[in-house]
Amino acid sequence: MTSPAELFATLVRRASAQTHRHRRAAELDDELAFHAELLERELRSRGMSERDARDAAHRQIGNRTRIQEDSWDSWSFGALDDTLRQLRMAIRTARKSVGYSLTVVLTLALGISATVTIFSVLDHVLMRPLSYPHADQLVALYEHGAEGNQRLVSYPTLLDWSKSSAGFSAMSYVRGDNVSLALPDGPEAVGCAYVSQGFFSLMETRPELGRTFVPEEELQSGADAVVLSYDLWVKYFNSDPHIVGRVVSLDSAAPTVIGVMPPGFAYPDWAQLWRPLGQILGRDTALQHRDHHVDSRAIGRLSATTNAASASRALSSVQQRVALSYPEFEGKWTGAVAVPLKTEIVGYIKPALWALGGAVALILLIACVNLANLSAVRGTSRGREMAVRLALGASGAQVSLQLIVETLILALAGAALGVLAARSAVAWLRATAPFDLPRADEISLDSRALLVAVLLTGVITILFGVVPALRAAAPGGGIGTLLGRRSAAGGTRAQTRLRGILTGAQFSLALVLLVGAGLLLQSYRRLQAVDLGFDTSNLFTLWIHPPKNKYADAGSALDLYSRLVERVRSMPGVEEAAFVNFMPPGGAGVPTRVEIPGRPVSSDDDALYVTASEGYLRAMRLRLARGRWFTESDMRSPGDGVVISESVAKRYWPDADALGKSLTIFRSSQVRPNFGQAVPSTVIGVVGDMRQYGPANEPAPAVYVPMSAEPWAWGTLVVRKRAIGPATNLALATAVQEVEPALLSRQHAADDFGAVTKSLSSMLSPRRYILSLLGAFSICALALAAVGIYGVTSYAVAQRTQELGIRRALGAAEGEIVRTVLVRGMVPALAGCAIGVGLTFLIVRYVKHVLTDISALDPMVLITISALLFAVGLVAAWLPARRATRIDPLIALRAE
Amino acid sequence: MPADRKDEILPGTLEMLVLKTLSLGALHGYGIAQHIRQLSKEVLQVEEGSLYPALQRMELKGLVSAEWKLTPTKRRARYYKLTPAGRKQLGVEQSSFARLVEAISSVMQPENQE
Repeated sequence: MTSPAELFATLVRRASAQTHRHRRAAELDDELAFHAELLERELRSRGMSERDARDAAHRQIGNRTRIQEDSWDSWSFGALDDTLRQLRMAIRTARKSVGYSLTVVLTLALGISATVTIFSVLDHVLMRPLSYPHADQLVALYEHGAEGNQRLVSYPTLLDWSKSSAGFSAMSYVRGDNVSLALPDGPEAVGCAYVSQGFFSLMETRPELGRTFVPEEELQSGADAVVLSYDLWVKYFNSDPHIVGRVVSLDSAAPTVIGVMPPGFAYPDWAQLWRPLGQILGRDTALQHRDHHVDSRAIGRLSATTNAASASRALSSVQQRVALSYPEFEGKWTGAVAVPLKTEIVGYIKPALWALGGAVALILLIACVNLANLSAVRGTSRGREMAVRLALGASGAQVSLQLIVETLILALAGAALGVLAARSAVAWLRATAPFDLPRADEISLDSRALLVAVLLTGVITILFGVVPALRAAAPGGGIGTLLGRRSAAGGTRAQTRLRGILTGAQFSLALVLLVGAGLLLQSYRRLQAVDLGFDTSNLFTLWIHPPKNKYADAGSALDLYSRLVERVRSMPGVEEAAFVNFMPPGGAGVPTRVEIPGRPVSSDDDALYVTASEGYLRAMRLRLARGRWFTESDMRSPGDGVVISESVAKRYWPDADALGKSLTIFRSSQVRPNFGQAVPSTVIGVVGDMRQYGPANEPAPAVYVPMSAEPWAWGTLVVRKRAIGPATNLALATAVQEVEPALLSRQHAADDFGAVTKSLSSMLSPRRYILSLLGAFSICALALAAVGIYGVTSYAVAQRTQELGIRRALGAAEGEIVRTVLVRGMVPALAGCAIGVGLTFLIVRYVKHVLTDISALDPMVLITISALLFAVGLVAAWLPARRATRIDPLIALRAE
Repeated sequence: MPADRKDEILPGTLEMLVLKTLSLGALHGYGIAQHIRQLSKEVLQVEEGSLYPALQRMELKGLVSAEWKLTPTKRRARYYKLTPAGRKQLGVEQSSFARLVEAISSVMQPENQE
């Protein structure tokens, strides 16, 4: 019936009426006055007295305001206008009680932002599948030992596995190597993955540019080709769109770039470029050894019908046969295990992240309790206002609507603020994430996180905002609410008890969180203080990776290292310089099997194989326990003498002197032709243990051989500077470059020398990261709990104004009043702390299985935290208590 | 409520009566009420409390337009006038009212004849 044009015209008329609201009201008033005048005249013409006529006319027209309002209803936008009015009123109310509104908004914002932030992290790091196609079928393959441990699988064993691979649609072997990529600015060491046949089809990932290997290229005789990672392509080739077909220089090889992988394709995580394994099959002797278990990966794709557990079982039966055929290599490694790739990548960080998730849940809980408390308190104190409104004729629905709108406004403000804060927090987390937090670059605040925010806000608003507000201001109170409420000390007894319980709950939750953070802090500080077995101060290192074409044979490499050490050692400000293959606390190392004459061979008898120069002991300030370290003459002509660490000595000769004892070790440099060769040796010295894998790991047993006995293909130049006037890093880099220009790219020359203390600190950075997050959360929890107790106590004081006023009037001392208020306020806090302590015992017992390096429940931590909480609670309750002493008895009594 | 109250106007018919009244020429609120009362021989009493909100409503719907004019006695009054839309609406309401009356009387008639 009404056309859109008419509808529009109506809307325009309505809108203009809205804007000329006051003028229209005046007009209607005029109109009614005119009406009354005519009516009056008519009545008088019928013979009524002037006065009677006026009265009758007014009576007949009735309530002008009512007519105004009825007319208004037709002009206004009905429900919308109603809501707008409620909105205006709600904002007015919110502005009138800034303290309350701000507390609610901030509490909610804190809860939402913490939850949404950590949800984003958990969701992107732990929950979502990896970005590879059918990523849930990808598994990392390991040999599985009798004691439940795992080790990398050797290439020959993997070939055996893939011959009878029930449950797998494909398996692939990846060999890792550092290669030197020649760039205009100088060489750059990059991680290269040599991949066995079918690797890219196993990964089911198509390249961003070009193609991956064709079968001919995967053969030993194939043309040399290389596939680049996206990051490498961007970083070193400026995203050159014509890169495909270009020949690059890698060590002595000159492969052609055939493709670039898409961003996010990073398997193994260190791979920056991929080449066919066929290229090194002939010359990499390590690939022929069954006891080669380093620098490699094995990956498999499960067939669609199986899962990791049953595939592991099937593979184990294959490995059992392999172990029987090669007992000298496989020994106790009679099983195999397929670990889902996601578990492999994020598994180690999972417990820590879940702990954060737990912490956030606690924060949210505390925030909710706060909100419930606040809105209950508020609802009670507004019961009176609501009763007045109802008495003046507002409908119950209108009053409820008003409360709901008020709550919603605060909720929306809080949620918006929370999401904004979460956005910054997520960005901050990404920016500061330690480099080894897996998938950190995938973390973002997306629609899923927003959905969580919206749902959370909805649920919180209804459960902890609307319901308590409505209940507290229930219209049932009626006149009774109007008159009586004030005199009771803060609402009914049940309400008071509920508030006490809620406050107590907050304190116990906050205590749990604080104790957790305290324990983590303690274990972190213990790690920082751990003795690594060497002196880390003034110690600097440079990773040396000589170009393979120039230093392929052992002799030239050894010559290079010796020249480097001599050159740097002679610099002013340098106390000592040395060369070693793997240096603590880098986390890298190559093991050798150790055999003792007359002792049964065990595949567990591993020790780190360290080849070091003569100055290493002094440079590290490593403790010499027995015998001697290598001398210059050992370096010139190495004999059969080796130095062992104390843990090796203790393992084989617990009660005897290890000096002069015999043992057999095995050459471990994978690139040398004599890899795996047995070397009968004699112990000439025993040195202290070092924590090769960082402060969180036990010291690794180690066997040291002279650098000249087995020159490594790469290694670390160790420099101890003098404490006073140390040589600058730039001077060191220049010196290195003078010896061999190809060692450093000019671009990075100045910052290549790294302080060991710095790398130690970055080793601890994941812990620091988690710790700082947990610390921030605990402080939030503490603040929320403080706000909770402050709010409840202030409310109690406000409600008891009259009672306290009378006490004052009757001569109660200030101290006494403070005490009454404080005691009432602190009882829930104390009870909460006590329950929290109990809760902590329970939780720590569980968490200890998950977070292995958390310290056992330390009474000192517990006492400190409880005292802290108590103090905070005391201050928060004392502020309103002090206000109670300032109550003027007269005003208090008059208020009623 | 006064005891001598006259019959109330059937709900929904007030607008039609106002439209019919205004179809004879522009009038102010008081005039409309008088006109309806007089033509109905004092049976239909238009309450001010209904009339003015109804006029506002009709103005909003665009059935009538209003302007301030001087009365013959030089008094300022708000005069209401039928718009074309109002005239159309009057036709619609008139015919549907006629149908309604016819329907009601055909129900009522047999009884009346007894």
